[in-house]
Amino acid sequence: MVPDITPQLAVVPILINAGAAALPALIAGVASVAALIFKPRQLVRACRRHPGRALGVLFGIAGLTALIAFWPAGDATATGTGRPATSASASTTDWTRVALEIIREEQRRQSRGPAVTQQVSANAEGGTVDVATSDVDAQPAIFRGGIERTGYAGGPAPLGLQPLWEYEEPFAMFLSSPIVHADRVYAAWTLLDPPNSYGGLIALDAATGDLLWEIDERDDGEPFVGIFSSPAVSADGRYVVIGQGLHYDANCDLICVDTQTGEIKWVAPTLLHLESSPAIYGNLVVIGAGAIEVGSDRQPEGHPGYVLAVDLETGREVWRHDIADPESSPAVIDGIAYIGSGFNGNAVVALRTESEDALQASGKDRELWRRDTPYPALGPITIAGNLVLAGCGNGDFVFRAQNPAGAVLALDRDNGEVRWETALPDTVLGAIAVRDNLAICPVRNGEVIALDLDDGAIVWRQRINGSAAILGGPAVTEDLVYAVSQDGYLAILELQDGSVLERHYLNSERRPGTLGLSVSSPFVSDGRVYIGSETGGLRAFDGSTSR
Amino acid sequence: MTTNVRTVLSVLLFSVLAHFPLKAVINVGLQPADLFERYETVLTGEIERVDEEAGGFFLRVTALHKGETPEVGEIIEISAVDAMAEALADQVDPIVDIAPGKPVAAFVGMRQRRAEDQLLFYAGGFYLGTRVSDSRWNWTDGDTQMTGVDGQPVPTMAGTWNGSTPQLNHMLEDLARGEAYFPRRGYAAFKEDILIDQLDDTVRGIALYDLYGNGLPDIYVSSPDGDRVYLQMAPLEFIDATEWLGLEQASVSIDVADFDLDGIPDLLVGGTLLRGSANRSGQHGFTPVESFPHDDEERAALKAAAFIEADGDGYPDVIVSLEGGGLRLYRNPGESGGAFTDITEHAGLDRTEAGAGGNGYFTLGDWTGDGRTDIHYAAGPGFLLIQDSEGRFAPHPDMPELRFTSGPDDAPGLTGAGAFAPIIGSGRFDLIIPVASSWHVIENRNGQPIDVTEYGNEINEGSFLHLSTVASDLTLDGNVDIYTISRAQYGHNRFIINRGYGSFMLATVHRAYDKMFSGPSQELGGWALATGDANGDGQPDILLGNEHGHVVLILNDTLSYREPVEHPTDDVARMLQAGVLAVTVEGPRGVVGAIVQLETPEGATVDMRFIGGNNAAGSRGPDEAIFGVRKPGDYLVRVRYADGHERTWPVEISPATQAIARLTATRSD
Repeated sequence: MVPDITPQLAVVPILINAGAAALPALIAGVASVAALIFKPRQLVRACRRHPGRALGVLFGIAGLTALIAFWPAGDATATGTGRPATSASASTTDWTRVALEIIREEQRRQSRGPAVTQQVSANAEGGTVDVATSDVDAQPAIFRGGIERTGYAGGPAPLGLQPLWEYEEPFAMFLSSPIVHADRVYAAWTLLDPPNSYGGLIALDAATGDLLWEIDERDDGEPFVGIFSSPAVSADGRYVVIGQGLHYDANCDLICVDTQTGEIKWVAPTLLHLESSPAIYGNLVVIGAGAIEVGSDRQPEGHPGYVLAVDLETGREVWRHDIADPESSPAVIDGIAYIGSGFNGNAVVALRTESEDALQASGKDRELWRRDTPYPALGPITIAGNLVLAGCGNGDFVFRAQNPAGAVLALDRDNGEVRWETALPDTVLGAIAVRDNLAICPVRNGEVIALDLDDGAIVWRQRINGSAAILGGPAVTEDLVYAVSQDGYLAILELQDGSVLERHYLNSERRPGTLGLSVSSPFVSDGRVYIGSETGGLRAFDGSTSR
Repeated sequence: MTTNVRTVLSVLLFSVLAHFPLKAVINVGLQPADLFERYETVLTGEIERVDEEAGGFFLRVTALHKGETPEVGEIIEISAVDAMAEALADQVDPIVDIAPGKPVAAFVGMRQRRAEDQLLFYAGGFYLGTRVSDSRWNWTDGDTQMTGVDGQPVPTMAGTWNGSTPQLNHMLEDLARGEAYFPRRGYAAFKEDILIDQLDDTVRGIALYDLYGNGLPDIYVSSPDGDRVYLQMAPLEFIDATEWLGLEQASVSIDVADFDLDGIPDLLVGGTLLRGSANRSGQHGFTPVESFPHDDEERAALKAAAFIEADGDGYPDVIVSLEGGGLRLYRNPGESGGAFTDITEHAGLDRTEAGAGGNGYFTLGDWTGDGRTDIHYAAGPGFLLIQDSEGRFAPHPDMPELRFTSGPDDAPGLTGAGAFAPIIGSGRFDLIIPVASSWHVIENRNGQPIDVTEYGNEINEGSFLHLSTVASDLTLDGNVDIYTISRAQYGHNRFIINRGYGSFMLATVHRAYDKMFSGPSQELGGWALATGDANGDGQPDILLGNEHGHVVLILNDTLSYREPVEHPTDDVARMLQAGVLAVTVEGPRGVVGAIVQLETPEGATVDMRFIGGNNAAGSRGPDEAIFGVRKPGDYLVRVRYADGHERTWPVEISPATQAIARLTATRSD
């Protein structure tokens, strides 16, 4: 969430005249402040550590503001800009934002190398789509918040949780994980009503739980099918994208909805289902279309699965690449999409995200590398620095394997080499969260296990509720872990040692979950925890923010 | 509700032709109880008449389980429209379950957007529609299809219910009363395998029975390598007493009973009858009495031998199965003493129509409920042999023909050892019979054998090379479950949980706890199998032997998992209430073939067991009946001994979390 820091600045000509000289200093100062504002936790820390500097910055900003405000106005025509001196229109230009854009651009260059130039490629229908990735650092809110899958958007981490609100859809489950963006919660429900399933995407006021909009059918009136995928919000907050379909569904759509109106922006059809959660990277949306396995040997019926990339603005397909059963959720960084390959695949695959034309021009393959995993890699991909973390195992969300086994692999982002591999007692299906050199893993045997990112050693392990599986990913704040067991217990653990601080029941007291499908992952933002459940709807909690 | 025209026709045809086993994996996410909860109106009805021309039928409401309207007796006109009308118009044959007199279960109106008038009804399969008014419904669609685990098409909703319509209606009645129990998980757990011993050859038969008389079941092992006896001298402390007891046999089957009624168990080791004299007074050992068949050459063809009550005098007689020689029956001389008499001919077992010359295992029980032992013989097409008052056996004319060959060479005689047990809830002994890689569930419908396997969900999740099956309430929830061994060296033994209402669950797939079986023996096949309470905790344990020579005891640990939890599901709450009653039947007269019945104080039969019937291809469990009882309270135990003697005992059953009810049933004479 970006707070509005627009000061009451003067009209354009004043800034142009005065700012010409002061711009470098202004950028440097604002850059520091902005960097901290974007990371409020660090801001608080910095203020505590260096109160003098904080006050200095504050006075500096105040002084600069005063200087700008009282600078004598000049003749607009004298600036040589050629703009008419219309103060009314000039006053609406937000030059602070312009400056911030410049700062963002600088940050992007520093952290990710040179900007990817705009590309235009032919789509499947012969037209062209804009796959520009120049805006890749504008922080889209993807599944679990970002590629480190922390499920934490900043702000205080609450303890002593108290119910804040709950949103219920009769008899529906919230299998999908909510995401918070700009004071809104986006979430999806699923109603199993065989032979069909139904789904809906909702936007709620994060503070009150009030329904802002809901959409549960396409423009042609065709109802959405059940939704397991979790929403992703574009960096500019204009669009929310989500997959559709459960495991036996075919011909499911990737959906993009306008966040302001709740209306469908586009749908991108697929041959299969989209239990994968989409990643947004610049103008590209990447998602896995999972196979429909049948029979005891789990062979795919129909297409074996593929990764799909579409244009965020139009939904037009940019490329697709066959991968066996990519039910995993991709993570994209530096132009490479990493995704797991599930049944009949047993691998992690790194894919270049360029268009087909660009690949052909450069003579490169879509696959950068592929690394075999000991079991189907169904878990979402997590990025930790130069590591790609992948969970795998022989169980799935519904069935525990006869002889359960699983593992977490840490692969080199550049070449897929195994940095370390840690065998675990069962499958890792939920997202692995990364913080403070720990990988917090949800394990199907009922344990949350923290691994050392350096060598994969187990640092601590903790159960939430006996052997009830941990299927959803944990949320990890600065010092707390929020994890949920499949039977609906949300527990708060110490990040340092995994000790359980408190537990809360998420399912309906009247109708306890019978399926063990509390698979929705918690999301922590601004002192609140948001989480879906099997029978208790979507819930928000707040609590004490001091320990 | 979306219309899927493409699939409707195939579904309709499927409904017509669907009288073969469906591999319908249970959909724990949507069970009849969920439909019952979600829909505003739940009713059952009977089809009055079918309007084939217009496409539709008229339903008379026979019971309203939930909701206010329509009233019982009201007629609802159900018209096929949209895709359904098209499909019906194209279909040559009528839908078998849409016919006058057929029952229907219906769910109407959900508390859900777009579903206020949604209709879902079941008539041998699920159909969809809408409510136009209370007296008029539109029938719009059929169930869709998905691919089952065997790659074959299966209706999407078969995992919710693929049973018979009357059974569904029965469940709806129970749901309305708050008494339905239809578990979604396998609530059972077993401890680590206990390897009693490893022999050099295959274990062919096994018995769990108190031979020594100290109240602890001992183990007898039949093996071509030489039989073994392990006496349980202290709880779970077994000693090899083979030499001490002077046993030097090598056999293929074992049975135990007191054939001479002297109070000491005797052995039927293969075809050799051994009089027991082992007791705590120092006398011990077994003395050969007689061998069956009497002819040595014929005896070489012995498959299995067991005690049977063939004449109603309470002295156990002997039945043997010969490879290629059918069944032979030998009458115990009883009080008069002397040799057993071959009564095969008198019993009618020398007739081809009774399986003469066949090669197969037998199963003993009481099909007719007349107290006389009947036989299922798994040779040829299979024979359900009913004993009359003269001790003659005649094949039941309506027994479905089955196939008892197995393996790549279609070998006969290596499967089919089943059990008579109250599996379907008919109040009688039904029949569960393993075949090569599946089972047949034969319902005892007022004496008529009806194959209801197709309705059984995961009853078709078989292993391969099934040899034999025992029936026992291993989950202690009031439903008799089944356990089957595969004769393959690394065969998967199967634990199938009986969910009631004719539905079965592959236990390990749906296990509720972290582990169901902890040891390797589940995947090492088996040739010998018995169940019984080995450690006196009131829970039936599993004893098996396999081709590796392993003698393995798998202790049932289910009750230790019954601990109160914070938010129990309906299933768990019911199990926490369930009690356990363990009845030990003592005679000595009339124990083999005795029937133990658990009854309400009003005399309604709740559950029952047949003593000496779980023979499982040459094995034997103890003379006990262990009942899981879902509703604690006061009951009667009635034992009908095989000689006609009968006695009842009042028992009070508490939740098993508090106490196990125990009864030693002794004769009153």
